[in-house]
Amino acid sequence: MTSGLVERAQRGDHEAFDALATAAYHRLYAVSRRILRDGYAAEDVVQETLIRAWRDLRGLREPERFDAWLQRLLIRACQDHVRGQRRRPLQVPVLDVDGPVAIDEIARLADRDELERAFLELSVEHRAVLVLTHYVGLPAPEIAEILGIPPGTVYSRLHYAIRAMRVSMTRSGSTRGAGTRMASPDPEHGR
Amino acid sequence: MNDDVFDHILADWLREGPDRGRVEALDRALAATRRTAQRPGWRLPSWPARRSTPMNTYAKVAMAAAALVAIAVIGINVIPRSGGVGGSLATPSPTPSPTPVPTLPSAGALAPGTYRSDFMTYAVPAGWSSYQSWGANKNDGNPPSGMFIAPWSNIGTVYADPCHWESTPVSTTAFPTVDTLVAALVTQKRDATATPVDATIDGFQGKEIDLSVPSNTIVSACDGGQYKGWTDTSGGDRYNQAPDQHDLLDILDVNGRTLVIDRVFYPATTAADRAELQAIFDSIKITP
Repeated sequence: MTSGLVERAQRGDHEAFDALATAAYHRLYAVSRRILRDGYAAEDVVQETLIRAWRDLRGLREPERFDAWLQRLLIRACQDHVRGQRRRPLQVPVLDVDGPVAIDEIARLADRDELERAFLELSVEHRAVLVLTHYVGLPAPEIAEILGIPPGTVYSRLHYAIRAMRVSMTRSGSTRGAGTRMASPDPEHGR
Repeated sequence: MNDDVFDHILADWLREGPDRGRVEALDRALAATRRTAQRPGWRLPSWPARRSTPMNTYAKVAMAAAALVAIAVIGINVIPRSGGVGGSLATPSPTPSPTPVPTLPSAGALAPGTYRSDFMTYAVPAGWSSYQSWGANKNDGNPPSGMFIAPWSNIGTVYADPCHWESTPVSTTAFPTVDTLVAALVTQKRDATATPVDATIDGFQGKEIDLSVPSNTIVSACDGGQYKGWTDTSGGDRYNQAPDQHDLLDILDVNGRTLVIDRVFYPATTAADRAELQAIFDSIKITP
């Protein structure tokens, strides 16, 4: 089904590409939003991803790998977006909080803020591995295919990203979180 | 807190927030794709493994002038001469005019015969096709069993890791000698290190190396979806089509120029087809 649509789209069929893009849209948005932590930026990145996909679709040799290829384009677009942002004034990401914030929520929000800050200190490559692992739920070999890296590199990026976040949060003094305390990272006993 | 607890906290946090984008943003993105042209794919036409550089007007004029000069020279040489010391006064018998070797056409099936491709000529049997007046292929050169033969006269950039070529260019200037080009190619990241052997083609000496795409390569996952070994100084790229594809290169010193003959095939290429490719190769005449 998907391969047939991809082959039609490769021949310039816009309707076939629309069907592919529509099917993938929410997934692309959700992933990019979590990597970038910004809904508007995610929309821009998804649009850029779809433009690149349409433009370069004829170069996709294996139509059955369309989904992985599309996600790779998305990660690249996220990288490009972040690179572009470095040349602009710092933008403070906005937390998604609907309605008034209850007092007993403050501690939890503080932790979320720490998570957000530590996460945004990571490179897009490391964020992508975390999101694809812990949000999408993909196994390392599939992430490796999407990112074009060996599975071992996926594991090492995952390990580094978790350790870096914990170091960052520990350094900032955040010890809250579900009634537990953040332990100091121990590089000798990684995952 | 152990890592599992942190993983859970992280996963919970990542699940927060919307997981569906706005429909109007999708509509805007789709509208943007309608204003975007598709790039020609490397499967369409069948074997565009190298970008063609349009010939500019000056080059066309220069080629036309060269052709006129060549015709004039040929004309002078084939005019029957008579007389001279000890020469016969008999009417000379007609001398057959040398037939210029035709350049490969831009595309299409080739009639069996001899063709020119850049700095060389070679004879092709039936069943072969031309690609961009530059190379000859059989079965479109594509996997699982296609073949291709083509010249490279100005390789300027070799990529240390052809899968991650964007960040690994080795040189941006033409390689001046056979040895410098061979040295760059044999150190590329591949399954096995290519071992150069001595080669002599039509009297010109050089090295032959067999480069192959690593078996576990996912071409679509490489930079830009391309596994790219090198680029020539006019911007032509050699990007491979599939894992295990071979580039059997003969790198020659031709009057101080480093010229390369590239034979492309796959493990599934039949012995009979390989023999055809070898026969074409054996017929090569270097005409720089």
